[in-house]
Amino acid sequence: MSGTNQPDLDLDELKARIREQAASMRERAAAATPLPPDGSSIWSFNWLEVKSRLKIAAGLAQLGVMPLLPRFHGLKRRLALAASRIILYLTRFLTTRQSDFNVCTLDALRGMGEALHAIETRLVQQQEQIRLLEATITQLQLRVASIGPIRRSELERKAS
Amino acid sequence: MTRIAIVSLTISRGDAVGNDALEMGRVLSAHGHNVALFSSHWVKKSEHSRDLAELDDFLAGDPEAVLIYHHLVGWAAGLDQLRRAACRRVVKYHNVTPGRFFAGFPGDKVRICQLGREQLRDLAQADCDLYLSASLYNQGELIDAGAPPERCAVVPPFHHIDRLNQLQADTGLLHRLDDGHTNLLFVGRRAPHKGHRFLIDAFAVYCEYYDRNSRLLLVGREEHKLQSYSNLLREQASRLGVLDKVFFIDGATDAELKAYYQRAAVFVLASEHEGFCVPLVEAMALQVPIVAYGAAAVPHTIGDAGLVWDEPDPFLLAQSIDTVVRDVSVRRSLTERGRRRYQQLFTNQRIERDFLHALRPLAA
Repeated sequence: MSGTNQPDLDLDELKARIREQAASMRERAAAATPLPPDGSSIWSFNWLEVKSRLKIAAGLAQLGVMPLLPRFHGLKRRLALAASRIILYLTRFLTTRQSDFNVCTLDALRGMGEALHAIETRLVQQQEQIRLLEATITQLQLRVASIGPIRRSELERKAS
Repeated sequence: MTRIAIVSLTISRGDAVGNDALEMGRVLSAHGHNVALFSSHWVKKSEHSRDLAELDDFLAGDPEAVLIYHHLVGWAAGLDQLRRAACRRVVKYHNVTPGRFFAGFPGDKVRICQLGREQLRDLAQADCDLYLSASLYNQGELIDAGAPPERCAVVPPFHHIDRLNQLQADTGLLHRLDDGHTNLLFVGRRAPHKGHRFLIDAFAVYCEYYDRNSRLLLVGREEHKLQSYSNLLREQASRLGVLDKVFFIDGATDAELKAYYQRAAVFVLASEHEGFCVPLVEAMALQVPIVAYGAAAVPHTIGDAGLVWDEPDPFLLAQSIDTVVRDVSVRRSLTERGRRRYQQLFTNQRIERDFLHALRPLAA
């Protein structure tokens, strides 16, 4: 069926197996003490959501945009739109400056977010390097410990 | 050439109903009909889009004209237009979310949804010429409400998957998501009936007992006036210790959406009410295996192309996710079934054929 010549999946059989495994996991979970939230991991910046919220804010930043007014129809809609246009025109002296302020603030926030994300990425990479170095040191210490005392003193003599 | 009016409360490229209405218009225009789309809430207008107030002028009392009415929520003005129209009438039923899901949240969703469900009965008994439903489930509701079964047909909604397939996924996002984490994906607007709370419960179990190196991506627009719902979800994620691993993503572009699908290990769905669920078809087309709670029309859409459960049990969903992630043969088999189901039932070409076939007696 898939071009990989694998036998077709028996969904009922698979679901029965999953149901059993889920039940057993539920039992194990009930028996175990719940683990505390992972405090060992470094602080993580929720950049996807921040980016998404900044995008929404960018859509709302420009004031002075005509509203859609979906609830009004016919003459009422035309009157409401005309009224909105007049209000927007009269409040331009406020909304223009506010829009400029919004855009500048958002640009600054976006820049800060990107910088923060870059720092976080670097931090994660460095932490990973530290973990690798620690593992290497542990391995070396184990090898040193496994060498016999005579051989170790020979090596130390050679090294000196 | 037939004069055809397509009417919907809102039309926007970016939501399932909007995509369906716009694509219907394109298909009918391509077949030489004089088509116009009418709405009282346009997000972006095109050359064929008009305000509802212009509908009577367009139909011009032509008894051979066709009015296609998309029903998705309560809309008194729309129903009124349909009743008054002295032409051939078609209802496309996308389903209406029961109002109870929105109880306790601000806004008038409860009223609008309840009105929509009441209007379903009015529509079903309005002696329309044709009743189209997005799924068998919806068709069942229409028939229960009194629609004549011989005038009913199932035509899945048109979608934007062809566009998704053609465009390049956001490379920056692809790179960021490709960091060794297991990405679990859900796509759908942030509304109470979409079952986010079950997803977060299941994810907390998955994270705790299966894979701590994972994240849950909840891609979808936050519903107007439902910020308190989002806050509840954040509180729940925080209480379960997974807030930093649950990502609420609003306003994803098509390129970003494609990247999310391409990097998803599993598409997880726990909606309590769906009339069809286009994101499931997107997952099938983009070869992402599906794990789902099978409420409402979900089992009809997925068929045998995913792991569907009768209950949104967090351990069951978490174990299913783990099986799909770890077992390559299960994963391959499900994505292949999804691809095949998409090709057989849900491509835009197939939907176009079904749609034109259903409409043939009215618009030859």
